[in-house]
Amino acid sequence: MKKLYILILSLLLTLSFVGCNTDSLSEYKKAVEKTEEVTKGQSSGEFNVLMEFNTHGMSSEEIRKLNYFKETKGSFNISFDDEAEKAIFKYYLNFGGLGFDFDMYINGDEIFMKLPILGKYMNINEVQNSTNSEQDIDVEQELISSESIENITEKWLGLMKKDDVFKGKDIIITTPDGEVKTKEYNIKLNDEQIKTLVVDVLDILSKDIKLKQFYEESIKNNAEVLDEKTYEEIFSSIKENINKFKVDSFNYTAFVDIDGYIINEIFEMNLSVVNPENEGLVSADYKLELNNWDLNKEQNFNFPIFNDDNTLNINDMEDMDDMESNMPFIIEDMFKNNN
Amino acid sequence: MKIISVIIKDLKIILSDKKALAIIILMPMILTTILSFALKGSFMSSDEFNIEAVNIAVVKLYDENEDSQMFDNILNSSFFSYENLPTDDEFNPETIFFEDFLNSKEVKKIITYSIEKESEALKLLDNGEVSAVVLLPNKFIYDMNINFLTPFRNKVDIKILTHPDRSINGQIVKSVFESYSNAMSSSIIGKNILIETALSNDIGNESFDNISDIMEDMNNVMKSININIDNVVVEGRKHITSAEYYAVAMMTMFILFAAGQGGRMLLEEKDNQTYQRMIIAGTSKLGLLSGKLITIFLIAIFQITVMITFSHFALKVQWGESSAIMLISLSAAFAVAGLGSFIGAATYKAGNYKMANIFENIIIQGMALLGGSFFPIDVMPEFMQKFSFLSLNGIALKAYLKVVTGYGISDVINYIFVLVITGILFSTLAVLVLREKGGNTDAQYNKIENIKA
Repeated sequence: MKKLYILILSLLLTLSFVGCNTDSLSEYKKAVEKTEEVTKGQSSGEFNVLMEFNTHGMSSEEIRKLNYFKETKGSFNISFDDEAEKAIFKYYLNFGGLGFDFDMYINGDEIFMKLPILGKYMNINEVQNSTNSEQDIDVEQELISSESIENITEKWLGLMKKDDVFKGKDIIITTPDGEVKTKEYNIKLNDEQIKTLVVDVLDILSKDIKLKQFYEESIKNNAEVLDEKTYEEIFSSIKENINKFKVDSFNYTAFVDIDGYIINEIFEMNLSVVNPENEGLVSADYKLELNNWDLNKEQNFNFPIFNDDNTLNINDMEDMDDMESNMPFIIEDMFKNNN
Repeated sequence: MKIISVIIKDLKIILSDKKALAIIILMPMILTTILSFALKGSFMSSDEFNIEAVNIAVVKLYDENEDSQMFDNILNSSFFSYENLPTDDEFNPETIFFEDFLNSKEVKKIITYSIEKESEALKLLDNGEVSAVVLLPNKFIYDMNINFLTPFRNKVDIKILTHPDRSINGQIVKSVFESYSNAMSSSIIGKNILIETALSNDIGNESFDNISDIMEDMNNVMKSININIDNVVVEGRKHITSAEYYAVAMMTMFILFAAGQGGRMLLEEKDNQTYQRMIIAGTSKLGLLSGKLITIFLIAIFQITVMITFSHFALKVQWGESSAIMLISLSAAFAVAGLGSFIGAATYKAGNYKMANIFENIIIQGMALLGGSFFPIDVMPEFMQKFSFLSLNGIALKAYLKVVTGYGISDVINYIFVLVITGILFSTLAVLVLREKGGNTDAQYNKIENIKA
């Protein structure tokens, strides 16, 4: 009798396991949602954009100049604590064959930026308040609103079907937290899916008030080349040109740790131009690798001591013209030369 | 007098046992000799370090002319507006790398290089003809010029491929190149500070007049690269050689076998029916135990004396302050004797040799591993290092090594104290185990049974 019970029980268990087919997509979605909820931790990343140009009919001088912009590289390291409203961003960007570092420090309402080359700090609030003295501006940390980020995440997750997500094998990866056992999730999307996502993202961003405000105040005012274009025009021109490109491949790999957090992500995308003879650009390869660690752990922030010697004040900013004459390069020239 | 008779009898038995003698006297001598020669390299100081230079292949993945042309173009673009930069003769990253760095007196002693094409270099690495391949990346010259002559910072990733069968040589190459990287970084930081300071004082262009001076200092920076593959040695203390280390390590490990030998003595007396005879003759149990303790102590002292003498004359081991060595030896031998008498009492109580066998085959090996008798505990995982205090030979080893490196009695008194306390503790435990009801009455009033081991 006992044996019969055991036999029935094991049969039921076997059937329940057969019915429980693991759904990689929902597992991945859970990991994304859980990682989104992280309020403090550290992230780092490296990206690389490699562009191929159609040099037909160009002079050797033009080709050489174009080669400076074939590769754009960058990296960043972020420590953040959203609850305490503290963050330190350290960026490195190599563009046009020239690399430079710039840092951002957020401590409550204070936002400081360490300027490349000058090595001095700039109080972002002070500068924005002075350039927009007539308007009452509530300066906040977010460049893009949290609603927009949520919507983008939603679009990203809604884009995928079950067949798009493959669960790979368990992999041990080395992180600053040590050796971590992870599950690999691989996502491959086609041209149509990516374009749908890009259009959706552009729609979300074009309606983002915070980003629009940042563009109007910080970019448009400081880059003459963009002066003629409105915020909405920029997004609509990108949308118009989207079909000139074809997504040759899109690979995304996420590594999820035992606690269900995404601790490593690798994006790889290859684009090519549909009619390269009509365009300067032939193809672009994009790679981004992100790492997350120290998640939801207490962070130590070592903020620099800002004083008159190391920080630009409003008067310094007004004397910027004098400074530019003594600087070995002018950032604005970069925009002029590149367009 | 009865105790002395017991000691003399036991010593005669042990010293007439060739197998036991081989284990406690001959084995440590043989192992010390083999290990001290085999692992000589691991304990060498830089003064003795006289290996052949490591062969490497350097691959240039850049085009010097293209890089120079690219840099000139950047300078002539509107990004820059200064004209006082050093010429190629004044600053040349290739000259700095090959002439000032790889051909410097210090580096030449350690590394010899040849410039190869990538495919050829990889072949040489596969064949084991070079120990490492150094890949100087694309745009190396351009990026280095940007780093040293402009306010910008371009990352330069020099890749080093090493052969898995030559990990030590690979480590040497990596260490040497780390020195180069550090020297470069400190120069770039210096240049950045100069520019930042100049710009903040509104003398931007004038700062570039001084770039040439910074570049002149580069040669001095490269010369200052000191390739140091030595351990840090405290002033007045000498470096430990492999012979010194393993003479101490083997000696402290093999004196534990004396405790193992002693651990069998009491039960052997009982099995041979000599124990009952001695009890009937009026020898107390405590007297018997004291006899065993002194026997083990003397055997350990004998082992230590033989090992110190042998290593001093055959392997040129300098043991340091003799009074400190004598004190450590006496306390270590006492601790071992205490442990041996406890094992003996427990074995006797159990009525079989399991306890003594476990001690000899498992506990001694464990103690030897944790105490650093097989290899220095520094190379063990951190969690294992924490358990080294459990090892009796480990405590003795640390004390001996301190004296060998030049420390005196005052520096090892704590270790001596711990060894003596350990000896007292185990001796007391041995007495308590034997005192338990049963042992004496069995011998005096019970019928003798013949028990075979």
